Amino acid sequence: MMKRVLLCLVLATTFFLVVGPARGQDLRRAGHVRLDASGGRHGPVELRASHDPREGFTGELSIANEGKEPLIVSRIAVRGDAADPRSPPKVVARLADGVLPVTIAPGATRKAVVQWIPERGVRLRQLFAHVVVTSSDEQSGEVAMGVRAQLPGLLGPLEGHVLSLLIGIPLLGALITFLARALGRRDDKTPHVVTVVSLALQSALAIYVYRGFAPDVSRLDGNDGLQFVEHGVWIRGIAAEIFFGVDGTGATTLLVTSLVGFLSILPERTVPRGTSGYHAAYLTLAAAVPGALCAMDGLLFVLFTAVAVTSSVLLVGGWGGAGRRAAATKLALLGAIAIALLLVTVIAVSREAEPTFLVDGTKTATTFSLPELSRVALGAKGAKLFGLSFVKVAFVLVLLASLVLLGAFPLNAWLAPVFMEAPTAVGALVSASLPTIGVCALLRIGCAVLPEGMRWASGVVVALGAVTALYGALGALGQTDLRRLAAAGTTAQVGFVLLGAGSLTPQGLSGAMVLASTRALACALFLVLAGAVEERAHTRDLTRLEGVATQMPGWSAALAAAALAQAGVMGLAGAWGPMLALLGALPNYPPLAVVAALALVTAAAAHFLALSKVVFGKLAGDWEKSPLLEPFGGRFPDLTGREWTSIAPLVTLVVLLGLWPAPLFTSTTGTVRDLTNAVSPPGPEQISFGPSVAPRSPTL
Amino acid sequence: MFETAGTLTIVELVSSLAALVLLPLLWAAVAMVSAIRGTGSRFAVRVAIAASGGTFGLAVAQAARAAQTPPGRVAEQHIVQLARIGQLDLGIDLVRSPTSAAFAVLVAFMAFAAVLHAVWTGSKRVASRLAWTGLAASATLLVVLADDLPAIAVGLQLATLAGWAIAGGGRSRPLGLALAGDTAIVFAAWMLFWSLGGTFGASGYTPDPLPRFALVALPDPPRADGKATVSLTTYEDALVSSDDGPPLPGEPVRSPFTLPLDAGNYSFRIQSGAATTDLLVTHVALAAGRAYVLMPYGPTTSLRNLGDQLAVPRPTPVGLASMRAAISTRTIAGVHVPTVLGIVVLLAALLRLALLGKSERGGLAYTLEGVAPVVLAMHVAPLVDPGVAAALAVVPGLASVILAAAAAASRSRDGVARTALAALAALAIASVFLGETAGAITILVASTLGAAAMTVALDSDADVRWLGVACASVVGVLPGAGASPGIAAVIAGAFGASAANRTAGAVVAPLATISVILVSLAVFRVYGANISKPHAPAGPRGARLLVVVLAGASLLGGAALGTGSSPFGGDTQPLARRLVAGAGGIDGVPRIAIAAVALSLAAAVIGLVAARRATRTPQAPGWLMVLDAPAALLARGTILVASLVRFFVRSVIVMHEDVIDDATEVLASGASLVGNQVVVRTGMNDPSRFERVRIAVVIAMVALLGLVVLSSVFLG
Repeated sequence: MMKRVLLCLVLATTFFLVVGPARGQDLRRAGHVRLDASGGRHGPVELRASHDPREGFTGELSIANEGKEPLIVSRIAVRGDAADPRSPPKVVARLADGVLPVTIAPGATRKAVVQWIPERGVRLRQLFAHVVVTSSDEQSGEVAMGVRAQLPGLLGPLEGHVLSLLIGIPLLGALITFLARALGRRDDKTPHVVTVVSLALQSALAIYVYRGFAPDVSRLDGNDGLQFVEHGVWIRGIAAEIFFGVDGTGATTLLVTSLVGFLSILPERTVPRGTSGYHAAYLTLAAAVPGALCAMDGLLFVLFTAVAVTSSVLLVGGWGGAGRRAAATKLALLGAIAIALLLVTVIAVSREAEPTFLVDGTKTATTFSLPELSRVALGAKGAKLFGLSFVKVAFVLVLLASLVLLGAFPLNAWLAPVFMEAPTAVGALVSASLPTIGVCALLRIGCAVLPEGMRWASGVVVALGAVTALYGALGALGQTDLRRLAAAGTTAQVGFVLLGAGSLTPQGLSGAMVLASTRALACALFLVLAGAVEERAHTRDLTRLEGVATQMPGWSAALAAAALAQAGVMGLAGAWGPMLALLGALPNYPPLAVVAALALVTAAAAHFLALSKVVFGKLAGDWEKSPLLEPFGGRFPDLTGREWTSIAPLVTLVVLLGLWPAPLFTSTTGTVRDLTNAVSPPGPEQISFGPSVAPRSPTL
Repeated sequence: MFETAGTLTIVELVSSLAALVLLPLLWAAVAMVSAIRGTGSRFAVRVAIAASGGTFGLAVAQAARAAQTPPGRVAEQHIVQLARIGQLDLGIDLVRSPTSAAFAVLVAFMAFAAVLHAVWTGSKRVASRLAWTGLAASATLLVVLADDLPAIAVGLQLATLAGWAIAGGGRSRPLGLALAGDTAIVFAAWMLFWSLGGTFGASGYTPDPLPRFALVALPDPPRADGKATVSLTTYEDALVSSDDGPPLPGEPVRSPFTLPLDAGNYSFRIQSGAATTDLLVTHVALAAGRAYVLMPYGPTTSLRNLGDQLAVPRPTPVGLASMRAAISTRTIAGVHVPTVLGIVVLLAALLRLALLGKSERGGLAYTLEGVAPVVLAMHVAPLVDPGVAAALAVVPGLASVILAAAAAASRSRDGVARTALAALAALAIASVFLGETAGAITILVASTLGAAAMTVALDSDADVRWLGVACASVVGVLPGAGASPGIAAVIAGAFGASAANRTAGAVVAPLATISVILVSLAVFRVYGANISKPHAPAGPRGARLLVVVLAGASLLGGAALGTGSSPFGGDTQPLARRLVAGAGGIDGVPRIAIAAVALSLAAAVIGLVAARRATRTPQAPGWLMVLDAPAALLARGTILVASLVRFFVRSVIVMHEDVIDDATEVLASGASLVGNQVVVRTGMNDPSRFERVRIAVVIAMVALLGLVVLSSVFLG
């Protein structure tokens, strides 16, 4: 038996050694094209700034003929067209000398020059493009070489890796906490300081990204409408790429989640047991969240989401309250389902991709790049998945995964237990991050990659949104526990995310995107405040906390801002998202918009009534004798200076963005335009008549 | 296709209106900080008095400027651009028109009075009361001066917040009603927004393809230099350039602007902002010396733009089309959009009045709450067909009767002024829907000041004669003073509607009369109860002085606003009629005017006489208590709604616990079984081992993400 196997192996090896090269030689008889970066390196070609600023950035690539016959090169161009430019304007590619068509002798090489002259006041500070070469090599077909360039910035050589730094700094912090422990520093303070410093740096970088983010950049501006792009080939065999970028959703959510992560841990005084693991897991979560928010590769998105869910489960299960096991189990179970659904969808969609190029120019039949997948007309292909319409099944899977991550009805079983049991900082970060990742999943995969699915299911999505909002609002009305109230308020708010996204109007989509940030802010603030009072009173029960405002006016004022923002009261940050979601849903789904409006009223009433207890209730007399308050002279101590350093910025943001939401809206507009074009492409009746009138905003 | 002509509201840009809203916020902030820190309130009191006095002074100055502004022109201040998404242009703009300036004076004066009252009556929580009063004043001023929806929506919700806080929280039903009213306003605005462009069909909303901008030729006299002018005062920060024709000087020009241009043919390209593509106004001819405005058409949230669209027909391929005609053809559930809008806004306004009439209040800040509902009605009434509006006026008329009856049957004297004000505000809303906006303004001003005078008189044990003056002013017992001209105008408006074959007018007139009788009965019952126990004035001197000022202002304010000779065939128009710049329904019909005046006076006197009879005995007569029945019935209705909500709340909680949680737990228990097996077999039931595994998982995750980051740095 063994002999036969060995014989087969020998025969097979001989076949490949002898026949394989012969086949290759046959192929190379004709002209065979190969592209290289200058110096024979692999792509992509790095464009360098010329000494003369008028010449912008230039780079060279070589076109080699590896065949045995002459190769005729007929076209050298930058990939893209007017409808889908792919790269920023003013990028040209040409032969270094001579004109096309050009014949390249066997074994010879010709140079091509790529030039990018950024316009004055350019909005995109990077260039990612492909130079495509068409030749007589029919076997290879059109070949491409990746090209990239980076305008100089404040961070010098690190300018092109801001997002890696944003993700990497907390990871470095996590490593340091382990190292410190390994080196014998087992005190509680060291990991806390490391965590705070890491997250402060992360927040500073997030502010840098937000400040540098040019608003109203869409796909028509090039680079797929992304900024701060990092794009490289990761695992070539499966066409997996490292692809990070910031779009309209990411710009503000990155900032908000980073700030929440930093500000929530800042005032933490009591450190849970197993300190180093706790802080490392917290930092891992803080690293995974921006990773997921910036991931533009499907696999990468799933990977970061999985790490975010896993670290959340570890944090809740390991360092939570008495019911931590049950809470962690629910989150783990539902989270695993969501990740599995996302993974199946991403793999399935990637198998339907059109042939394209990786960032370095390698031709690939499949890709996980989300912007590339969004170019595939999956509906028109008539593909099937599990025997059903591919687009519909894939969309349902994404929707279910998004519902879990958002904490929307009916897959919100993890939300309240996690909010109840998680340590304060963890609860705040999880509340800010997982639903935000859910928004990204819904918009980036559901809307952008599967727009036909979104159109098909828009009614269901809006209905789910209205029901979720009302469900959350009614749930909030019955709560006396502050953390449960936060969970119910979150459910109500994510209902408006679904309402806006399902409306397919630019206003609704904008509302959904804005809600991703404002909800995170309000909920995190609310949970931090709930944690502060719990530390003092060992209770979160509003009936026990009646009238506490008389002794904790600062805490109460901050709670009022958080609660009313969470309730969507106008004048505070949480209001604009629901307002726009309602506006978006009204024209096509008026009854559901009425239901959502009722939800808005109910949620507001629930939060007002909760505040009534705290602010206007009568403080129970037994608190005076409570041993908990003995150290403070029988009175509730108000927020400390350390707590204010964490709470004041969040309160300021909640109030400021309520009165002036423009910073939120302006950063989303480009992405809103892209999403609207995807889910609601302009029809003939939507174009203004008359020969000289430009088409207006697609659905309007 | 891009040219039309008409009379637009001409805008003069100013920068002083924001101070009217910000000054009350200043004292609110100072007082709030003082309340939170628990420090002495002296500084907060000083700041509040100075700021509220300053606000009043500023409001008077603005009113004086408004009086000097020629008709058809307003002053506007663009505060902030919030968002521009598609055709949605959200901003906060304040406008100074004669009406808004008059309301601003009223609100600022009431805020000043509320601050003085809070200070003079003294309270442990004076800082907190000052803070909420400041917020209420700022919010009401925002609603009054607002030129667009976001400002109104923010103002209403801040007013609700302040009202809730001033009332001491607690009562959920009035709060729920007010919140429902606020949301209804937003909902109505969105309905109007979508109704101004496109169509609602079986397949949902279809945007229309008409031009978004047109060049409007103004009927202004020609310029002496022969230059044409082109202005754009909407779409702040939009960039305008020439598309096909002579270049514009300094293009792209940023809005707002007015450009002098040579006569000729032009095409304009308007980059309106984010998430929109450029808009074009092509091949338009500018005549020498003429003034033109680039005006947006279609969905808008700006009240001024809405007014302009109603005034200036829109160019279409088949000629000019009126926006009023366009929205009148649109229906929601078979009902015309303007009617739906009228109903929704009316209900919203009445819900806010319910909050005013029902909740427990302290101080004078409650008097600010009558203003917003009337202002809302004034914004929406012009959109509604006059016949439908007259029919809708029955609803606030009926609400006024119910509220007045509740005031008359009130067992507590403290709530009478509040409920009477709510009843008269409802009557003012009815007046607006009857087309008698001037009457509404008169009623609102006189009743607000009169109710405030009553409250201060009762709080401070002031001279009972001034309480009588305040009562007389509120119900218009004195002809030509206080609310009298306004009430007469409502009744006359109802008669006028009836004469124009609108039967609803015949219903509103008796409703208004009954309402006045009941309000008169209510307030004079309070007066009667006070004169029956004579005593020397004992309250603080300042408060007693405030009663005199408020009662006097109520009488004189009503007279100044409402008295003129035009209703009786003369030429002198009442000031209120000049504010709204529109003829009333009774001008030139002296018989109707005289009948209305007589009826209004008779109603007030009947109420007074009934009050005298009711206060003869210490116990209120039985017939009086019956008057509360309609309000009690409505209250039962709200109880029913509240119990329905409680049922839904219980259902949601039960569903969450018994279905969603349980289903997940079943799945989780299955997973736990497997997990427990793994735990036991791997020995992880040992806590220290479990912790090691947990740390190993964290390290693995850090390593994995680290690998990605390093790959990104070295490969990306």
